[in-house]
Amino acid sequence: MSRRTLRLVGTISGQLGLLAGAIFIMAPALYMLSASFMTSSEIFSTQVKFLPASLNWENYVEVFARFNFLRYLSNSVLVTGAVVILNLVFSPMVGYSLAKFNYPGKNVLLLFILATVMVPFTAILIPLFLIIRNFGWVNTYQGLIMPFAMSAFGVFLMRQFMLGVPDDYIDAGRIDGASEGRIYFQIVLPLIQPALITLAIVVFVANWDEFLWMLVVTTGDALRTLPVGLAKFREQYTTRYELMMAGSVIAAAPVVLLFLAVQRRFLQGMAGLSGLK
Amino acid sequence: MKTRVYTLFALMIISAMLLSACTMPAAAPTGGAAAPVADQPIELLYMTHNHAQSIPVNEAIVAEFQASHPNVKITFDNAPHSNYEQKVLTAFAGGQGPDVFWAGDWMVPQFLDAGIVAPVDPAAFGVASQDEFEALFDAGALDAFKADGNIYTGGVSEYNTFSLIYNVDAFAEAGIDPLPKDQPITWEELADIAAKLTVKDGDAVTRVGLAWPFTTPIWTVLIQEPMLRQKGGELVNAEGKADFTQEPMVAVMTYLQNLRNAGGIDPATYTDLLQDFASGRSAMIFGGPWAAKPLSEINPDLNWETAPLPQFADAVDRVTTLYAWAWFVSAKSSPEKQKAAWEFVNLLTSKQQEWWDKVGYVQARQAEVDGMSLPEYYAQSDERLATIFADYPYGKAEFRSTKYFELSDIWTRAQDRVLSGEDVMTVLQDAQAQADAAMTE
Amino acid sequence: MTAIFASRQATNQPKQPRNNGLFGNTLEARKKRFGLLFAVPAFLFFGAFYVYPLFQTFYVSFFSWGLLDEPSFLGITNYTRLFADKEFLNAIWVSFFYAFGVVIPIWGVALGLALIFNQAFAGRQAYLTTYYIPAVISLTVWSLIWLLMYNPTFGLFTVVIRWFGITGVRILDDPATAMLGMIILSIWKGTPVYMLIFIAGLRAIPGDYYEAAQIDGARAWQRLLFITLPLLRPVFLYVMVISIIEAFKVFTPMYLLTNGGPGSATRVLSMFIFQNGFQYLKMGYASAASVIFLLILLLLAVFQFRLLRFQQSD
Repeated sequence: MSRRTLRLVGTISGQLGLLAGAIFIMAPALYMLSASFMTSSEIFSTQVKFLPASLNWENYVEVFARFNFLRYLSNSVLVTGAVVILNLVFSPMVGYSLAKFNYPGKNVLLLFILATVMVPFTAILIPLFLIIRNFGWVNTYQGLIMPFAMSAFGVFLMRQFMLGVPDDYIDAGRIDGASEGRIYFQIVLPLIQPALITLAIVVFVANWDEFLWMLVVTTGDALRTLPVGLAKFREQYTTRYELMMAGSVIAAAPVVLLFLAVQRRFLQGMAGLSGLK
Repeated sequence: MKTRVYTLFALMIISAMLLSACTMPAAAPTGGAAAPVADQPIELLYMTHNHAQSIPVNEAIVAEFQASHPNVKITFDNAPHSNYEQKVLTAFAGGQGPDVFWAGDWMVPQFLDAGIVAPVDPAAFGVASQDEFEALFDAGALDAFKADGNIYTGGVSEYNTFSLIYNVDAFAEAGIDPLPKDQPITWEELADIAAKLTVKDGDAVTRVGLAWPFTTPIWTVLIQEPMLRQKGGELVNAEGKADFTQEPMVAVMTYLQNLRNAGGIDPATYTDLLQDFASGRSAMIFGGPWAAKPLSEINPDLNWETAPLPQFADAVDRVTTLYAWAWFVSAKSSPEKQKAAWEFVNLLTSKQQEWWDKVGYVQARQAEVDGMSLPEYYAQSDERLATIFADYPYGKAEFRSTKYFELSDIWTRAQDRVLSGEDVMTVLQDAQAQADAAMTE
Repeated sequence: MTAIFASRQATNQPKQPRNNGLFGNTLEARKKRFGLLFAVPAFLFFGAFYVYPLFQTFYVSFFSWGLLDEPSFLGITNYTRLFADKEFLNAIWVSFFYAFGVVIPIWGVALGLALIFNQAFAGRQAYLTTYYIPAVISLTVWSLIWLLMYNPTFGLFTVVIRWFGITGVRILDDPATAMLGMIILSIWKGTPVYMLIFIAGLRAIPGDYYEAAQIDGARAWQRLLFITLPLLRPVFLYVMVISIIEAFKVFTPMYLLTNGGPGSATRVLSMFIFQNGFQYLKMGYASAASVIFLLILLLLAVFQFRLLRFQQSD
């Protein structure tokens, strides 16, 4: 076979493989999407059913009408948006500090930061609640946002990526007389752009799904977020699967959109270097 | 270099200790201790779980109370049912506990132990003493809430027993007659029927005879405890010590194992109690009056009937279960708040018609609605419920223990193992060991 | 290198002057000050929100506390009871089984997928989105979807593996397979995030290295082995440490699908802690278990740091 044919076969089988893989990976999510249009008797039918008989939009209508989902959605956007922004500002700073500088207590700090997530949230829930209460932040947006303003994962991620930034670039900046601040903003940050985007996405998804804290710190529905809304479908004696699936599609949509929006930049690679294709 | 590290660490520890000294985990009082002044503004926090139909009813009652008591402002909060206890506990531990709240009667021992609930204030209900207050309710309904001569609730919000609910069409398919409504069948008969009702397609079970809510410990107790008591046993003795190896328990577990082996129940098929039943994946369930409404919503065409809870052929006594959710007032609130709270609960408990019509909650506070007594009124909305109501008098409240959750978990784990085929006696001895360990605290 | 991570060597250097290098106008001093300055947010934030809770957890572990009442001092009783508690020991074992059962496949699959997505091909962005979707769905909903899918008669999972001739599978019912069921759904959901991180890491490798290698005649697998993987080491350390921490903390699927059962086959340590804290109202006991939890993860992390030689760039 000629090289060209070989490559064509390779491409086609590669595409088929990817497609098969995509369907496989997406199967549970596709099932969820399908179930969001089913009635509960279809979901629980005694005939195996993976496609709804018809597109039953009632679930979505009911989710918005009876369950306050618009409020939850806007709260989620506000809270998670703020958390992501705060993380994007502070986590790289700390990561840079931990990666490229030497000062006393550096490694203890890193270990300590990691230790804060090495306990189940259950264990620190009440003490954290007490702190927020002492700040007077119960049932406020600050109370929802501030405990997540930085994350151990974010700091650690930034540190690891900053480690990979070649010292030469930074030293070059110093030799040219740039201030440390300028080096940070104009040399280091652009170099780790994919990592910043990853940080944004990871923090966004993690916070979007945060449930327990959002429940405990809020009194009443006014400030509650999507995960609390989703939990409402698990009722006292039964679970409204069909509504939960619809609610989940609504909850997932913004995240997917966000992901689509940043993908391009994410795949661009290190700016200013002869990157890969 | 090292000294710097340690200094830093020490500084952090010291600052932490200072911070924690300021905010020790004590259940701080939620209200002020100001001298009671008439018509002083009062704020109450009212918490319930989020049974969907109950929320509008609660909100309406809150509005009504605020209208008639202009100095009282009630904040109504509800949390998802599955996380409700966590929410309430965290609120209390954080000094932000609710003033009025729902809780299950199985929580009473823990509440009493911690001194967190207040004894009822009869004046708020328009009576002179606690005895008169008790007389407002069905006989025995408040037994679970009594301790050292006091009643610690303002009334039951939801009051249930379990009876048998079955799918008539499934019965007909299997050639089984509908069950008698006035006489309970025996567990042994139930086992036969369940086995006959199970439908298989190859080795896949397309319909299981009897749904057995396997993963929820509370349900384990609600179903198995009547069985245990019918055999003359009692999980927890007067001193609060649990006994898993008693003869009656062995008998019950053996029965379950046989039921499983005959195919009458099947752990793997359980997904959701009502949905499975409504769609025909299970042919029989245990349920209370609360089942009627959801079933008709999920599947209006379902042809279901009720029957009394089965009894063992050699039962020493006819026993069913009884459990309730109730309104509690926090003992941590200021006296003025408590007073207002009891008045609020009085209003809440006098809305029997709404609680039934809109929410399907059976009330224990007696009343006449449309000239009928409450049980008559309930039965009138769906005749099949009369059978369930007939089971109430035989109901006994669940065992009382501050270790309720641990023991019910141990019980459920033992049930799991027995249903997977392990030897009953070995499993129960392990359970006993776990229970003994749990007791030492 | 601070003393914590380097092997301890006898230092025969003369006694250092008191100046720790933070003062003065040298480049070194300026750098140190700047580094410290940029770390201040961390001191403030973690100090304000997490020092106290962590310390509180440690503190409460020496008490008996029922959440609704006052704590009472117990000394180390909680710890001695823990180590005699079969459920606790089972929880540790089950957690290890689950955690490593989940993370090891994730490392492989995430890296593999990342290498694939690092190449340009038709529809790359579309595929990347679809591969990412499982990460986006809330864990509670994801678990409930799998509850439906694992149904031994009607579930999607059961139906599909029947095509492959595997019948009679009752995943959640059998103590031997229940944890496997949890592992499968966790791998499915967890991989995309790490895939993204690996992609970011691959994107950060300067193309020059590959070009130089290609000029030197290195083959694809050689480039992978001698350039890509070593340069990915910091990222790989992150993935290792964080994935293990996350895996240990998860208990929603176990709670929703089997409530720790059958028996205690899926009762992981984080669930043990939750139940003891918020259901049995034994917060002191749960805190002690949390401290052990922390120590386990800390030891694992330190081990991994040493394994991948936690240090500046190679």
